[in-house]
Amino acid sequence: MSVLTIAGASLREAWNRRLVLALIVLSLAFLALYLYGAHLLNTRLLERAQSIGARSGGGVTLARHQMELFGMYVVDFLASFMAIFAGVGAIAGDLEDHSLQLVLAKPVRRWQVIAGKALGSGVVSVVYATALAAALLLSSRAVLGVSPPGAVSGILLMDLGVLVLSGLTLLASSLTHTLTAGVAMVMAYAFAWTGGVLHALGNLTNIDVLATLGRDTRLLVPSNALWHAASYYLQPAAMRAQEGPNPLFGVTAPDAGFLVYAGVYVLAAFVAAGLAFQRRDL
Amino acid sequence: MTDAPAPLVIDVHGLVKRYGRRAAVDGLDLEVEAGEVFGFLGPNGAGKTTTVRMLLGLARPSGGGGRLLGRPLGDPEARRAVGYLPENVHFPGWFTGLGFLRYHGALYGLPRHEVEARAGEALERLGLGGRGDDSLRGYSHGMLQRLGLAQALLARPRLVFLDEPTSALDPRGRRDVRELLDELRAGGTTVFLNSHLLSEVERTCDRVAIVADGRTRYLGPTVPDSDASEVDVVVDDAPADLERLLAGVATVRSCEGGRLRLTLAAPDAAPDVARRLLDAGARLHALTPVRRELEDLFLELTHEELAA
Repeated sequence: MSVLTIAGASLREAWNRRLVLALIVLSLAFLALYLYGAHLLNTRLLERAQSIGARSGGGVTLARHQMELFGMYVVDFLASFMAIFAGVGAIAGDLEDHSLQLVLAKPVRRWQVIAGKALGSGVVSVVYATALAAALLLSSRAVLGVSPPGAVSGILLMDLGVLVLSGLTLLASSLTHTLTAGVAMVMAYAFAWTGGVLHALGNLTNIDVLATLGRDTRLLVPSNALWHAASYYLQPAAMRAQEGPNPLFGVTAPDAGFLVYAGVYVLAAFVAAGLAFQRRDL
Repeated sequence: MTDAPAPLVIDVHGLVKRYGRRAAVDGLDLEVEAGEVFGFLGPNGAGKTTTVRMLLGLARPSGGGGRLLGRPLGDPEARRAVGYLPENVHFPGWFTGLGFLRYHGALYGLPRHEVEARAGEALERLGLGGRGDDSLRGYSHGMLQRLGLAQALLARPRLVFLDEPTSALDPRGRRDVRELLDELRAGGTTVFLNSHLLSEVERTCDRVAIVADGRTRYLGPTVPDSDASEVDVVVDDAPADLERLLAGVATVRSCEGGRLRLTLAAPDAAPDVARRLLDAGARLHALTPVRRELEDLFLELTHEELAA
C-alpha cells in the first residue's frame, strides 16, 4: 500500500509541479518543428522529382523514412533525458530537503520507498516516451505517408532503454547528492552513446578491438544499444540495406540474449538502488 | 505499597555512532518513561540529531542498542505509534494542507475515512481550520510548523519526537504548543522535545537529558535540586572582617554592599551563619539557598565542549 501511496505522490508531484505541462508544451513545439520540416522536405522533394520527370518515388520514400527515423532519434534523446531528470532527485532531493526522513519515520520500509519512486519515475518516463513516439509516428504517417515496419517493437525497445536509464538514475540518486547523480547520469548517457559509435565504427572499418570496446561499453550501459535495436524495427529493409553500419542507427536485428540481458539489467539496477538505500544513513 | 515504575518507551544503552574516526554519539544512555514530557538538550554538534535518527531507524548505530516502545531500534512496526517533526523540513508547496495530511495518514496505514476525520480534527486543533484546501505555497512559516505538528499527531502516537517545534512561532503560537504538550501529557503521550529554548523546556518538561560530546551528562528533573552548599544573604551592611567572622562555617564568594554569596562549610551550616551575623549586629533580611537554573546546569555541563 505504501508503495502505491509513494508512487501516487511522485506522479502528483510531477503533475502539480507543472513538469507534465512543461513537457506537453515543449514536446508539442518539438513536434510542430519536426512536422513543418517534414512537410517542407516532402513537398520540395516531390517538386524536384516531378521537375526531372522521375517516375519512381523510391528516393523520396527513403528520404521520408530517414526524416521519420531522425525524428524518433530525437524522441529517444528527449525520453532518455526525461528519465534522468524525473529520477535524479527522487531519493537524493527528498533526503536533502528532509522530506524523506518524515516518510521513513513512519512504518514504511526503505524498499517500499524505492519501489514507489521507481514506479513513479518509471511510469512518467515510459508514458512520455510512448506518447511522444506514437505522436511522432502518427503525425509522420499523416504528413509523409510512411510508417515504420515494426513500430510497436521499436517503441517497446525505446521504453526498455528509458527504463535502463530510470533504474540507473534511481541507483545514482540513492548513492549520492542530486547534482552529483545528475552529472553522473549525463556522463553515463554519453558513455553509452560513445560505445554505440565505437561499435559501429569498429564494424564499419573491420577493426575488431574497436568493435569489441564499443560492444563492451554498450553492455555496461545498454541504453544506446537498445536505441539501436529499436531503430532496426523503425526502418524498412531497403533503408537498412542501403545504409550499412552507421553510428546512429541499428542495421542488424537485436539478439534475444541481449534483450534478456537488458531486462535483467533493469531489474538489477532497481534492486541495487534498493540495497544502496537500505545501507544509507539518513 | 510503592507505585510501579512507568514502562520505558525509550531504553538505550551505550549507543554509538561513528562517522569515520569521529564519534558523533559515544556511548549514550537514555531512559524515557511513558507519559512524560522529556527534554533533550545539548550544544550544537553534541549528537542530539544523530541520536534521534538512530532511535527512529534513520541511521544505523555503530555500537550499543536498545528498544523503542518495546521493540528493537529500527523496527518499522514501532514507528506505527511514533510521531515526528524534524527541524527544517521541506513542505512540498504543491500539496494542500489536507492533501499533505492525507498522504502522511496513508503512510501510517490508516483507513481513508479515519484519515479524513483525523486530518480535519488536527487542522482545527492546530489553528488551521478553514485552510486545509489551500496550497502550502500560501502558508507562512508558522503555519507550516503547525501543519508539521498536525502531521506528527495524526496517528495519535504513543511517542512524539519534536525538534524545535516552536522556533517559527510567535508568542501566542508558543503558548498554544505548551498547551498542546500539556494535553498530550494528560492523554498519556510521551513527548521527546529537542529544543534550545531552555525557558520553554523548563516550563514544559518533566525531566531532561543534557548531552555533550555524544554522551549523557545529566539525566534528571528539569529543575535541578537546589545547591544546598551555597546561600544568598541580604543584610543592611556587611560586617567588617566578614571572612574572619564566618571562619569555619562559610567562605565568602562575593560581597556587594549588603548582598553576599556564601559557600557553606557543611549543608547544615546555614543557622550558624545566621547566628554569627546577628551576633555581629547585622540586620539579616534574607538567607536563601541558591536555586540553580537549568541554564546554569546546561552551561556548567557543556562548558568544556563549548570551550573546545
